[in-house]
Amino acid sequence: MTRKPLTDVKVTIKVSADGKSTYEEIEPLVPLSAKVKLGPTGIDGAMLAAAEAAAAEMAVEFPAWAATDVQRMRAAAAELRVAEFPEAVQPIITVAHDLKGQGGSFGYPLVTLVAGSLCRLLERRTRFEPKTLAAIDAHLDALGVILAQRLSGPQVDMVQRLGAQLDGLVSHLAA
Amino acid sequence: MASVTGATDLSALSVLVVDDSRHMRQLVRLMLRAFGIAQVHEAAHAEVAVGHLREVPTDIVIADLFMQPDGLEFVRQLRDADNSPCPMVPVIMMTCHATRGVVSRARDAGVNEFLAKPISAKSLALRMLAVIARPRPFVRTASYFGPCRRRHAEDQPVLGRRSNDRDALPQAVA
Repeated sequence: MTRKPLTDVKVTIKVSADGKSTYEEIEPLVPLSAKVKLGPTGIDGAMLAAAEAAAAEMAVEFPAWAATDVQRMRAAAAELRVAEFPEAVQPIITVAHDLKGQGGSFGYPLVTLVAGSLCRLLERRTRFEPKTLAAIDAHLDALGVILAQRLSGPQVDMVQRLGAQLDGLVSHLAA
Repeated sequence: MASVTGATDLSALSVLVVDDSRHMRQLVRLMLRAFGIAQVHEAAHAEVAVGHLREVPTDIVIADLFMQPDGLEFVRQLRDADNSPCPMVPVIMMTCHATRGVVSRARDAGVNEFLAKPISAKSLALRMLAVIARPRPFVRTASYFGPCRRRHAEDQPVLGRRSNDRDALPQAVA
């Protein structure tokens, strides 16, 4: 089959490390660096500070929308209790995964911790016994408290203590 | 919001952010704007993203791994040199699951760099600088087309630091 040729590139034929085959090394004729100007300070402190300020401004709203996400997970957990198929858990995993990524990004590492623990609890699980459903509720309760009390910032002690408890819980249920 | 520009000027770049979470898309867009990038576009999923890439010249794609359809499938589509609108566009993949297996599969799909969630302005800046200042060369073998999957130790990105204080950024990408 004829390959569509790449345009505006320089192709160099190279020999593999073991000398047994060749491969193409392909570079754009105009590298991305030619489109920008990178000063000696790179993306400097002022740019980073502006980005952090933008994130902080947006983070003010995080507890409100995250609380809505927790409510969605509670509704999905209620459905999971009566569902006859394990796929019913998927909405919880999807939202928990989103919150895991968002928590620390918006200054709430505890949300990332608990949501990440919830993901670990649920992923690859196909049976949802009462103790697992109780563990889901415990995670959702913890998220609710964190958001209601706006427990933002490093929260180092609490991250360590809560992290150990959640790890123990998830490991116990996985055994 | 006004962008802050110094000696560095990234204003000519066009970036596409692909994530099914509108909050994450918005966060990344705001950060990129703060870096001085004016053209930041968003797509909620891969199909919209591919359509956008067919229409709008794009320099960098920042995409989430965990989306529908799968983020890796999106990257494979991009690296399909015969059908992709931009087979060599740098892809920075955001993920909460930066395990060895996930990273390996993503490298095989053609991902350039990883951005672990939660994200920060610094971590995003690091990955942007990696694809701009220290791009992986593209290679084509019998079974692979995409950025070189090996990164040499000396190929770490050059990073900025505040010119007037001691808040130095780390000097290497994990």
